[in-house]
Amino acid sequence: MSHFEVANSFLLFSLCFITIAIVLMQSVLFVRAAWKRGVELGIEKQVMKKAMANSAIFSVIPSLPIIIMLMVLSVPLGRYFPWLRLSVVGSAAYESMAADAVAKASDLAGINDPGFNLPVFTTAMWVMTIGIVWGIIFNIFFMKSLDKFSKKAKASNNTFVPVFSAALFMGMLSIMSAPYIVNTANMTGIIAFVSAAAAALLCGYITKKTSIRAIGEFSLPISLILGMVVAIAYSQIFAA
Amino acid sequence: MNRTIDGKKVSASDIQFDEKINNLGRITSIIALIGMFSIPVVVTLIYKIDVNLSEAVAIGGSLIAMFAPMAIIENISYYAVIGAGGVYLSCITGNVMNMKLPCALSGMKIASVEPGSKSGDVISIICIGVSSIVTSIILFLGMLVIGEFLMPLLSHPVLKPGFDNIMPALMGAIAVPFVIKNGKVSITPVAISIIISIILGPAVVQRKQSYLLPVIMMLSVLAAYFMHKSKMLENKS
Repeated sequence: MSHFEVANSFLLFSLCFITIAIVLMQSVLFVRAAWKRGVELGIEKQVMKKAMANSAIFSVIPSLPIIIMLMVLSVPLGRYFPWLRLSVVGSAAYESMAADAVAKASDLAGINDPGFNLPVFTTAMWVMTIGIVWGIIFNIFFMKSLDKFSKKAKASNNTFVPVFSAALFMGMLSIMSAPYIVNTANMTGIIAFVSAAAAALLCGYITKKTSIRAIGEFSLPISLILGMVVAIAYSQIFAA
Repeated sequence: MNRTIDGKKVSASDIQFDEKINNLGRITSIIALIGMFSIPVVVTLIYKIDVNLSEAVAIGGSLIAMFAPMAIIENISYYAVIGAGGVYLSCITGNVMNMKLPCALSGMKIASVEPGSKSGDVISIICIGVSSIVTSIILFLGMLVIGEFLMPLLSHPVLKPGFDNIMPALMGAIAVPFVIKNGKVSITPVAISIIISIILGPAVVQRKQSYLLPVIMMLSVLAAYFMHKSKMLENKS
């Protein structure tokens, strides 16, 4: 039996669909709980709605590259399992590495090797699943204690606590951004970074000066798109 | 825009919400795990596949050794920014760094709330939840039909540089305003990160990012501590 008969079967579609639907429902539950809490804390409903609108609009563009990965992974793995993996947990990078490792371990050249059959496919599904769950398992066991500990620290009136949080946050942003800034091999990336940053700062400035709130609220998608557009323009003009 | 004032004292409703979110997080995480494992389990059972699980684990071993610590470190780091609810939800739905985290940060900016505050955590959950819902819909459509129509657009040679550089653009848009806003606290982490990236090279830094993350964060905190002690940060509101 070719693994595609299983990979593209209604059974697999149903299992994946159900799991994704469950996760979707979980998102709704979280949002509802957070919304109620937001009202409790005195956050204006208008403000929360704007944040939601921004999230929705912003999420469209970064979803597109995921669709590319979906298409790529569908070739060896069928339509449904990659769809599950990229919608629930999973990152595109991990999925391809895990599937590839399984293929190689079965003496195949890679996931697109014609020898990729049902047992290999099944093993791949196991490995991909086992490898990715550790973050979730950590959350189940340790997130609550981490949260309690942190909340206690925050509740104390220690003036260092907000500074501590800011320092952690800046540390994260810095190490995530630095590789793009110094990567002179990818000038387009640097251009994208700088343009998007300029756009974001500009949006903030315009919002302050003109009180056109929409610009500030949509500054992320606007800056992202502008960064991408400048990258495209730069490539057209300068790159061979 | 109203500034939400976070009380310093922990109230009964604070504790209640934290309990609720952590319980919700745990339950949804467990259910998600069951859902994820159901696919390989059902396929193995129904088609009576002879899967050598210990071999599977061995194959996955080096991957697990790499990804498990990364996942844990990331969760702890993200917690500082998006809170417990944010971490539970974003882990289940995936794509944290390239979508959920920027989404949450942007939402917090819109709502004028600080990452790590009670309101920040609430906004994070809302933004991450909405983002997941939208992404799920888009991926569903992509899986069904649109993927085939979108592919030529997405891999178009003219547009490709744009799509290839979403991450740098995203980081620029998110990081720079926050870094500037945090002024003196940002100096140390930015300087160290850039120096390390130059010395080790961007590729290495990105590969080892999860290990560098706690190091940079700790150094950043240390520097901030000294600045705080020597009252260098007094002017910061």
